Amino acid sequence: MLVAGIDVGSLSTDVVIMDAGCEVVGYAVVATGAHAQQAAQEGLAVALERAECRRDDIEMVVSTGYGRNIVNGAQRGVTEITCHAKGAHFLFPETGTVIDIGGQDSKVIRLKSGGRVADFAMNDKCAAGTGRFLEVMAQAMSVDLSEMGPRSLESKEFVQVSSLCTVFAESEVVSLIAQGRAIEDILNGLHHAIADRISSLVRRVGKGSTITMTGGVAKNIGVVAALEQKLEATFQIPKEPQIVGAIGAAIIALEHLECRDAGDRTGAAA
Amino acid sequence: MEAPLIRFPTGPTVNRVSSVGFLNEVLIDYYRTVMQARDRGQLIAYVFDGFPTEILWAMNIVPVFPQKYSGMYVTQSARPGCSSGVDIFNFIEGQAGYSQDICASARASVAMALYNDELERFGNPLWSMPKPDLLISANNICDTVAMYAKEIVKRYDIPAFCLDTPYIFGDPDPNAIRYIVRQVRELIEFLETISGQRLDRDRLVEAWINSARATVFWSQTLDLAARRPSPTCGLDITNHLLPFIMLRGTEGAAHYYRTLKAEVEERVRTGVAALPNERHRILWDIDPVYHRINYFGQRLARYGAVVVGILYTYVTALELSTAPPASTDPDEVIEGLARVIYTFHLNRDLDNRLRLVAHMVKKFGVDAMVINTNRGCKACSGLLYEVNHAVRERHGIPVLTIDCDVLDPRFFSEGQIETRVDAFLETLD
Repeated sequence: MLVAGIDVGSLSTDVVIMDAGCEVVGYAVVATGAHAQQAAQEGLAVALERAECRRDDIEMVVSTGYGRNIVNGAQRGVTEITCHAKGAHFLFPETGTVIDIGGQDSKVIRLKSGGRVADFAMNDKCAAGTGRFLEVMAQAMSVDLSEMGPRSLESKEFVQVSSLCTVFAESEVVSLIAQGRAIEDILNGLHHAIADRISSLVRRVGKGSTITMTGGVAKNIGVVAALEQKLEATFQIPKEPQIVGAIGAAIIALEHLECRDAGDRTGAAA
Repeated sequence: MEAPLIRFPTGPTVNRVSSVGFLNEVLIDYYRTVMQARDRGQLIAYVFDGFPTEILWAMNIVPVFPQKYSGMYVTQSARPGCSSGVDIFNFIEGQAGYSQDICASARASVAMALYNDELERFGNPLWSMPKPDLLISANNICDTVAMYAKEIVKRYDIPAFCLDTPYIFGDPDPNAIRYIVRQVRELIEFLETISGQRLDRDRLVEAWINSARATVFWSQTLDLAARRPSPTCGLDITNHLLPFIMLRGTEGAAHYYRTLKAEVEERVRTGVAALPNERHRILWDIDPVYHRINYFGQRLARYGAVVVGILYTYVTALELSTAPPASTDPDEVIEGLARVIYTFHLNRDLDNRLRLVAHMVKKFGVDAMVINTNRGCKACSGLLYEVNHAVRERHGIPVLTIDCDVLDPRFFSEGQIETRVDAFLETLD
């Protein structure tokens, strides 16, 4: 028996195929683009190919993310808050708090037993402190997204980026570059700006004993370092943090199909 | 002229009270009264939430609430093909230069008052707000209301009266009540001068007794939501608040609430629920989101959640309980009116708000709360996060805070709100 979890986000659509033993047998990450429905089907097709199975083999599909209600063939839509909590708990059962920074959303989730959500807080009104923020800055600085983290760790001098708004922060960055400030220092400042915003969300819901970070921005080791410093903690980070929401959705599908121990099985970090 | 059908949306899954038909008639009758006032030689007074209209009805002066007209306008506009009320805000910001950071109540009320002729009226002059002959304001809601009222006064060059209500820290201050009683007496003199008629004190007493009766029926109706399952949804029943605000003091209002109460009691007797699959009982703070009532009604219903109480609606039924009981002594009635103005809920401190919340949580068997920041309204939103903390700590129930504006439909990000509301309801399940 196989199930699928499909997470349709603003930037990427992530699909996970899972078997009854809670093993991830195939997954895919595709760009959402302008056509979320199409992206969901494309992602599913790629994941099925990698899992070497067919669409008919999938007994249940659970969708999540902003596009969860428009996925053709999904039997159920569940919010990404519930799915990230479920997925993080599955990967790291000791998780007390989840920090998820995605394309346009950042969220902090406090867990209770069984990977269920006790409380959550999200960014309000704007995308400052999210993946979109980093994309804009990468472009402004002519730096590849994948370089931002490693380069920021070479910072020698702290630079405060004070703007709260992504658009205004971009102007500030351009100004800092013109003043001759080092790219590494600016990158470090940006990552600390994100850490400031996230840590206030963590304070709002309460910091659990173990923090798991999910979402694409968890791949940025500079943001992770800034957050760990701010929160005085060491994070658990899955091998593929972007697909945690889809993993959670797949777990929920298994639970629904009465594989009751699905949520409590310890899985290897994906 | 054909009477329009007023839209009171709550979503198809909520079993709304059928008195909504009667409500439609009562409100249309009120709007006709407003429209025909001048022809009948009646003066029109602009007034604001929390003002006891008994004085005006007793003097045959017609009260008009710019805040209520603009609220109705936004609710009626929230349908396909209509502007969703955005035209009011574009207008006041564009033509009159008001900043978006000013509260939506100010922007919408001034737009309705000064530019009503230029706004969409659904082809029906019943929606027009007539020009006022006088204006009565107070700072019991907030200072912003008193300030934007001045703008309306200036534009129309009309006589105006502003009541000063000291903020209540703790319990009402007898000195402040005396101060406001004196102002109410001055207000009466002011109205007598402008209208050229003496206040008939017997009519004032009669209006006060009508209000007392309406209040009893209204509060008894609201209290029935404590039953399980609730016979009413708070989002639906809030529509029925309008006569209580605009027609208080009239025999029609007393009759209306007697009828409404009877219908809801019948629902309790026959086991009719607002939401047959009720699983979660929600307390909502503070106003409903007027341009999205349908949206929230449906969204909550999907998860078996029904709003059993809304703070904004419930406080109205409590106001008269702080005044002397129904009295036939005109001086006691005047003091009662002063108390109604003075103890308006936004004129009271955090502790009072928390007492009210505690009362509602216990009374209505609430198991979760939704707080809307009502972006832009400092009077509403200033205490919010304290209420949030207190509810979690003292009552142990989960609280969701959503960030949007109850009147301005542009400050509503559906994707973000939907995620938060759905995730919260998933935690309840």
